[in-house]
Amino acid sequence: MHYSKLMTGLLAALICGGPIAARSAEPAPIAIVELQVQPTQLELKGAGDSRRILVTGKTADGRYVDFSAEAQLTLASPVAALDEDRFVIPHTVGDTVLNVTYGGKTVAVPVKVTDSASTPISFVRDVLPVLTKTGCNAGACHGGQQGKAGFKLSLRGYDPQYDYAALTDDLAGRRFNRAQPEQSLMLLKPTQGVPHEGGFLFDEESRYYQLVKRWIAEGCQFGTTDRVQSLEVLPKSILLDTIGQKQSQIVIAKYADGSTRDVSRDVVYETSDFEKALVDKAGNVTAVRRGEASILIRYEGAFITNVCTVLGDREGFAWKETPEYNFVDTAVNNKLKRLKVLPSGLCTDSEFLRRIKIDLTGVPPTAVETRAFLTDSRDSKTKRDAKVDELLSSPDFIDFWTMKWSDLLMSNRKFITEKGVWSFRNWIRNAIATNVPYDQFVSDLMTANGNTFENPAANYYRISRDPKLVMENMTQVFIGTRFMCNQCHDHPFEKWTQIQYYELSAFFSGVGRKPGANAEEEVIFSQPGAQVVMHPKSGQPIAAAFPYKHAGIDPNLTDPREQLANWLVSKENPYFAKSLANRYWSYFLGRGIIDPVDDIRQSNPPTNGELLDALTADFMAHNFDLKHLIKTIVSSHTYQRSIETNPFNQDDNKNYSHAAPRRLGAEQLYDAIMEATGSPGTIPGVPPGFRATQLPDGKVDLSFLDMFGRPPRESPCECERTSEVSLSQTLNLINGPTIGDAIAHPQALIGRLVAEKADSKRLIEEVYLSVVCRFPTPEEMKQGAEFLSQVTSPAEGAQDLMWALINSPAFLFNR
Amino acid sequence: MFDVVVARSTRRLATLVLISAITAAWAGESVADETKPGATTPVSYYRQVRPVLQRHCSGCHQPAKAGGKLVLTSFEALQKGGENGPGIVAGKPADSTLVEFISGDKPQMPLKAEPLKKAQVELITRWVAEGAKDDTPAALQDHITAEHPPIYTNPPVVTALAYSPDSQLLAVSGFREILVHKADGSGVVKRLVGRSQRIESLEFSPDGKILAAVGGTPSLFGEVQFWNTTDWTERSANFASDVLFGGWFSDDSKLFACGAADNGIRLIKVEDLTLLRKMDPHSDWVLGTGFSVDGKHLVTVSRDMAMKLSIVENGQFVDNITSITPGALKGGLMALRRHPRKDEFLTGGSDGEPKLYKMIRTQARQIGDDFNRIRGYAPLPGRIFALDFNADGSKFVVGASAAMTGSVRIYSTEDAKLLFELPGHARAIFAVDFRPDGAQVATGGFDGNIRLFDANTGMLVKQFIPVEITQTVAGQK
Repeated sequence: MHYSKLMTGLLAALICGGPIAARSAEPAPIAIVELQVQPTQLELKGAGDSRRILVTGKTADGRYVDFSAEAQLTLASPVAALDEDRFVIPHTVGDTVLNVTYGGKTVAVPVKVTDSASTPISFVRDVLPVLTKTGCNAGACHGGQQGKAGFKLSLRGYDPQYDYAALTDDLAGRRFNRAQPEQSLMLLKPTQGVPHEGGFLFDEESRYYQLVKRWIAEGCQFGTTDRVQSLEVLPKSILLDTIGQKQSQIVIAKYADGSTRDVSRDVVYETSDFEKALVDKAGNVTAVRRGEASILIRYEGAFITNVCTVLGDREGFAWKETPEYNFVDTAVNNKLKRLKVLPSGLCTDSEFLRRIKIDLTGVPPTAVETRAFLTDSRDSKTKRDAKVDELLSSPDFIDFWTMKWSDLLMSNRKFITEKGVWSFRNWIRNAIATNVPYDQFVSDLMTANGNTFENPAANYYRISRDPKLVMENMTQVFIGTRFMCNQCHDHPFEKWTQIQYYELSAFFSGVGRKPGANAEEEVIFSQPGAQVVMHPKSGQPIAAAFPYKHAGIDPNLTDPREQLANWLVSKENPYFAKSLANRYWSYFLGRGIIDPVDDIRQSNPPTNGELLDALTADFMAHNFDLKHLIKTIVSSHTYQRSIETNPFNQDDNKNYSHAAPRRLGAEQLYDAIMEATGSPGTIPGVPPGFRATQLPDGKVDLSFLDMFGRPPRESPCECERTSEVSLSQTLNLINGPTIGDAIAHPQALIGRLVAEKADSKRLIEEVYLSVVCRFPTPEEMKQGAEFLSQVTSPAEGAQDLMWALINSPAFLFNR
Repeated sequence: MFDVVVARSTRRLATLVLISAITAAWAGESVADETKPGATTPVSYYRQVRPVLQRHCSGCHQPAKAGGKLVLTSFEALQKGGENGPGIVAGKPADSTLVEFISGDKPQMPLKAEPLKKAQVELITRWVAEGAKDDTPAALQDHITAEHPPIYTNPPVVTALAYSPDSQLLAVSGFREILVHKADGSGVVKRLVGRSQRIESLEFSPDGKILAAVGGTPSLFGEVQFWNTTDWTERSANFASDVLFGGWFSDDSKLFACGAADNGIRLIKVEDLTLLRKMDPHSDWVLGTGFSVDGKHLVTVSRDMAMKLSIVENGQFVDNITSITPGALKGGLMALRRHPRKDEFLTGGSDGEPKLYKMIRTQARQIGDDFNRIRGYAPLPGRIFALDFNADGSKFVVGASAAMTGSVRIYSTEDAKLLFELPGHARAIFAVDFRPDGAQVATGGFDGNIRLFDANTGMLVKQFIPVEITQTVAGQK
């Protein structure tokens, strides 16, 4: 039973507390039929080079198990040797063979040493990775904004020049000692030779100590400046069959000059989900629980992720063919088959009706609508498709999606006055009503000029007034990335650099603003250099430039904002259509394929790349038609799946094998209460019957909405709208005036039914249809009738029944 | 699908009970399992015992303030113990005062602090029981004395320079020593071997009788050394647990001031090298000090970006000499020199701009003003680490570093004219000094070379490495 996200989480935590450790016992020796190695040959260049190999055994039942730690490694001649981590290191130039033995099988790996000379230690290439791997420049240590104990490094080493100065130049070279390298503060601190709050990090015999010591003895040279270009990881994806099973990894760094380096033990590993898989400092991944985790690997500003799938016990699994209504289902099911997850069946017509109505219009169906739909004799798929078409062209759809876009665009009277929010809302409404293609919608916003009354789109530039803020909001909403992270330093989890932040902001430097004729309006116009964006370090004006280029850029545009709009909404832009498709998907399935939806980055990979790519391609092929996108999603079998689970999908929460209950949003909940109780609802400042979803902005005072997470519209983050469950919410639902007054309102449903002297059967049926959109079961009817027969006042009895149903998950959640 | 309808109040109660039950279970879930240190391998003094002593004990038991006459910054000192007897007796934890003082339910030590963790006490006890062996790596043990002066395989970074008042000598910082060179660079007169690994500043007293070296060993102690310039005997004392910076004598040679990494200022009596007063007007490391001409005021600069004025007699803080407007200051101040004849102070730091300030404010402060500032000079690339006036204050030399490059300039004080850009500085400059006779300036820094320039032509006169390099290692250029 899904009561709420919170309770699901708690329940999961309770269930999985103890048994894990007990299950991760020593694996029994596994018989293998074949031994494989990766790579199949090694080449070593230079004294500093070291390479490892992965050893994999194939079992009789076709599984692959990592034996890199257990296999016996022997070198045929002293051309090369093994170091303490079983990496192959060169001795002399020549050829030899590494014999790899496990389970009675041996594979010979040719080893070639082409160079054994040592090269000077480079700060960027050699020393900086040590600072990162040992955590010196982590955010909680010297990489923090203020550094630590008077010593500051750039966060995770994004600024090598700064770090070089910090180590060799600060306080007249306090941190190194060329005369006696082992007396260098930067070696005494991590070895605890002198007090170090960060504790002991490595000892005098370690590779890192020796490397840093040699660097100091060589005179602390900055050395070669080429940084790593890209990373490659082996194996390319990780599949673990059993809990506790391990997999080691090889990470190869590639440099501009074509050279490579095995950095498996020098990169930083992190797991995206430690409940599914753990990764240690050496890169060994351990399966914890069935599911998926991404192993994020970073090294000197380069990132790569390795997706780890833990299959766990799938005994008795067999795929059952399920209907595929469109390409969405194909992509989803392909993934489910790989993971051995069995999807749930379709939800009932009643569940579908409530789900689609709330998702498309923000309000639940009326009793009349439910009765009509449930008694419609057409086949289920036909009437569901018809209902989707009907809702997509309903006025409620326009109101609800106007609200969603007003949230994202931060339509807020604090920024654009009360008149402004109404006019901006009407502009958005019009775009939704006429289904303006998304690229045009965004382009109109980006290039908006003129009087904000005449062209309400220009309000976009009243809401965000600083070029940097405009850019931050633009990237977060329209390409789903968080550029604000690289304002002060290079993005810690992405390729974006600090300079790109300013270069992209510079496209908005020419936005001029002046007062209009009316006090509440403003005029937006293009004026080159109106707000110059300064380079963060040199303090000089910075020229506009795109952080990435694509083929769709029109070189003939002169206005920077037109250039930007052209770049942004192009089909060649790899993020524009994708981020919207992903965002819309999350509205219907409860979780983005990339999640959070506005934090797209390499280290946050999609759970189903095939699905996202297919949705994106289809969205663009239909010229950014938002209604088409919605229809594609909601017409799928995937969207229409039941929340009921089976043993083979009950732990899936990322792959859409079953529906996930979603708590109603603040406005949805308010409107649903009014709809279900039949109460007119009175929101201050607007006419009676005006819905919460129709409000122009969050400044309309209704504390119920704030309690249930109405976004304040002060940032474009999807996270502004909260769907958590809190105690105060629970108490309000149980005891608060919103529900109580609505139920008891004389013009509300129960008042009307009692006035009509409806019998208890009708009372119960109408209450069920209105609140949970279905007929009561015979058992519920019987219990209800019994209850009503015991109370003195049928009105109060019916009110209690309604109150109890409203407090049930079937009402509070969209499921 | 769901429960039988119940009365509202019961339902409310049930919900609350459910919520609190879940919360309690949740809280119980997160109890972590503490890992215990392995008991099989012998305890290491260097790696396990010493860090505990350093973290929790050496603040009060160090040469500068040996509480109970006990010093815990070296193995030898620990063995020797303090007024309560030897710190440790090998193999006998019960007889070792160290173990006694940290053990028990309410241990006597650390004073006014949390007791050591049980595991730490056990570790130390076991180390003593195992024979209390010193396993400090040989490379880290100290064998340097005046008889066995340092041997250099690489030139040390030059961090301090000072000409003697008679312009005959040039004192240069070394590793664990000061090298007194002839002022023309023609040879070493004397090697002054002390305890401090780093010499952060060198100053001759105005009367010429004392060469003061300020420095210490990073993260261990901060020391002031007074070397008698007639017989080169040393008086020294520790005044901090990290290095000291920016030493300066009062004009009558009776008082001495320096800054510290604990953000404090030390005011020291020259006569007996004792601490007269500790002052704390700054919020970051104090890197430069200077007395007023009459010796009644003390001016200090710090990494906190401010130049501050205090009264010598009572240690009272008077005023910020630099602006107090938020955002007006840029980067820490790292060097300070007083004009030889008047109460004007020249400073420089992170923004590379030498700035001259008058000490005393003569009008009421207004927010936004920088009233005391007399003038600025064209900024040098990078950060200013050192500056020095000539004897009459008409010119000054200033050295800076941009990490990968260095620069040294001579400016004319009054008209802010750049007189010379001194050539040949490929790397950071950390020390400069104007020879009192005005003929030359000396520079030193990252590359370990001393360069002597003609102060009137800006031409390089001589360049030399101030130490003897006796060995070379592979990879060294």
